[in-house]
Amino acid sequence: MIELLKQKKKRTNGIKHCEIGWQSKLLSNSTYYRPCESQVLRLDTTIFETSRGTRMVHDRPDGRNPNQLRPLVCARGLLHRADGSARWSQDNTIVIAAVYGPKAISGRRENPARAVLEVIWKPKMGMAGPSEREAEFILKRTLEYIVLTAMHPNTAISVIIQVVSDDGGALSCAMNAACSALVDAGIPLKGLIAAVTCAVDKDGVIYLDPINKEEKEFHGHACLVFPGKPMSSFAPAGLALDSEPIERGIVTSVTKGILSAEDYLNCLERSRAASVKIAEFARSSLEKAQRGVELVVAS
Amino acid sequence: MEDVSSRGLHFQLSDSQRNRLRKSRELLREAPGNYHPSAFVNIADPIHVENEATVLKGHGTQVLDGQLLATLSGVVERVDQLVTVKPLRCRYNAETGDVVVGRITEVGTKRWKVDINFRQDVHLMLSAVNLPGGIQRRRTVIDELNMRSLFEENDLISAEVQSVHSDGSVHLHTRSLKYGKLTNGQLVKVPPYLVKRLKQHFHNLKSCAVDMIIGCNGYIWICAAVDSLPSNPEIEKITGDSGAPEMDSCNESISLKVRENICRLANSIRVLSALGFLIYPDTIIDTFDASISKGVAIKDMLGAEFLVMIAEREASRRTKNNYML
Repeated sequence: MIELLKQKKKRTNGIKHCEIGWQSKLLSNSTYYRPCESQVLRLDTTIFETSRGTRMVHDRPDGRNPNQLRPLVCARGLLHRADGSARWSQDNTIVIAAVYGPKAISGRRENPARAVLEVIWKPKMGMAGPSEREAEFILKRTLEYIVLTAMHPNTAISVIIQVVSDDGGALSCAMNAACSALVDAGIPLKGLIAAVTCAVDKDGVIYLDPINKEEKEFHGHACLVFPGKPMSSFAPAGLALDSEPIERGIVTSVTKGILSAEDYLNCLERSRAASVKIAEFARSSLEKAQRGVELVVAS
Repeated sequence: MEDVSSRGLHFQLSDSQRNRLRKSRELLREAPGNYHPSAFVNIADPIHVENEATVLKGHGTQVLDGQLLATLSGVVERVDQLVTVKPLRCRYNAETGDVVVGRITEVGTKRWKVDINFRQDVHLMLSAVNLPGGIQRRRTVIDELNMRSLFEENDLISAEVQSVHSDGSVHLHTRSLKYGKLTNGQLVKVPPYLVKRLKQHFHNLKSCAVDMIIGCNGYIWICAAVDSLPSNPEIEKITGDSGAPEMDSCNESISLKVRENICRLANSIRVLSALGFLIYPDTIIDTFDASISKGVAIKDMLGAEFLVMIAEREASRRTKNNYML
């Protein structure tokens, strides 16, 4: 019944009005229902409208608003024995990716037409189990899409992901790190990718880049991977929206939990916008790394 | 700036040294001869060309929607109609005619597998080596059984790339007297993109009595010059004057002075690679002479002070004389 009341609430400016309005409605009701503390409108939450009606947005433990990403840091070339390496951190979620290859491979695994991509996921603690295998498979399929494997037949490209600390969104962090490491290794790619995680709570409010606590509390979350550039080498020509060429494709989508179809489409929209920011950041960090990678690369 | 650590060499720099290194880096960045910032491109960046149809698309490029995009992140190189993207850091790419230094990893049927820091192990066919005695004949079964007498596992050889096949496999050959097994020296590994293809890869430094082979794959071999070794009359008797030298796997004893020279040269190469400078014989000799003239002990050559000094020397030389490497 409280949900019904909330749905009928119109958008108001101040918190005070809401409270009064709510209470007055309550008093007029014949059966008296005292809401418990957790359901009372807190002074520091806001109400906003979505297509489904007004929603209450819960405060995030780290004080971000729902559309805000965590601060991103990317470092390249940290492991000198690996052909390419990158460390991608989103606040407390830190992942290191190392790329070895293309290198020789023998036996039944070798493919005479293309390079074989293998991914190894090492969790922070404990042995690798089925969830790690799943992450490896997802990463492999995503990276196979961007790596030009036909250029190096009879070889193997190994990507090793080491989770240094996981505070939510480790899979998308790993995707971004793996992409940066592949660029660092000088392996030819079709384009870059940008991965975002977003969580949806039971009211349909979307929170970008959730931390571990939020991922567990909310109904469902999705890890979505988009191509890096709007006009990239993925989409076939001719896809346009309002005569403006926009990349409408998605590379990978991994969802966990309960998401309605509408929630999922909202997630897609929101994440696409966020992925543009991440792609810009990755590109600018790459340019900085190019300037400083060698002292002199004279002709 | 953190401590300079490049390719495994760690340098602890004091604050003043860090400042000096940073200044040298700035000078070098502005010095003529560098790539213009507009030449750098990232993956999926469009490359500006006049007419896309007439341009030859080289490595690192792809065409989409009539636009030339980069598949690698690096520098755009244009030679006439050929447009390629050269990545700043990548594994060694073997080309026909490259002189390489490699290590035998496996002895197989009629071939050896050699490790040359390439994507795959490359092959050295039995028919592509010189038989002892220099005779040209068909390789028989006995030759196959005696492959180990020529090259064994973990031997170092110098060879030339004979051919690169479409499936990525590479074949080497040692069909010249100057190629073959390497002894009496030290191997230095540098990143392969620091070594350019030159006319001469075999260098003889008479003043130091040292031979140097700069392999295109980043393996550099420094050894005592052949003339400086005590001559072995038995070997001369066996081989005669037209045959290949006897593949002797024992290292002979070398004098202390020559050994010091070898170590000093090796360290100058390591310093140059730590700074990211291109490896040319001139720069190596220059660093070598600088270390001698400044009286730097061989073990101090891998220290922070020498590193900063070499960076400063290069920066001053570039900016002063418009010196293009």
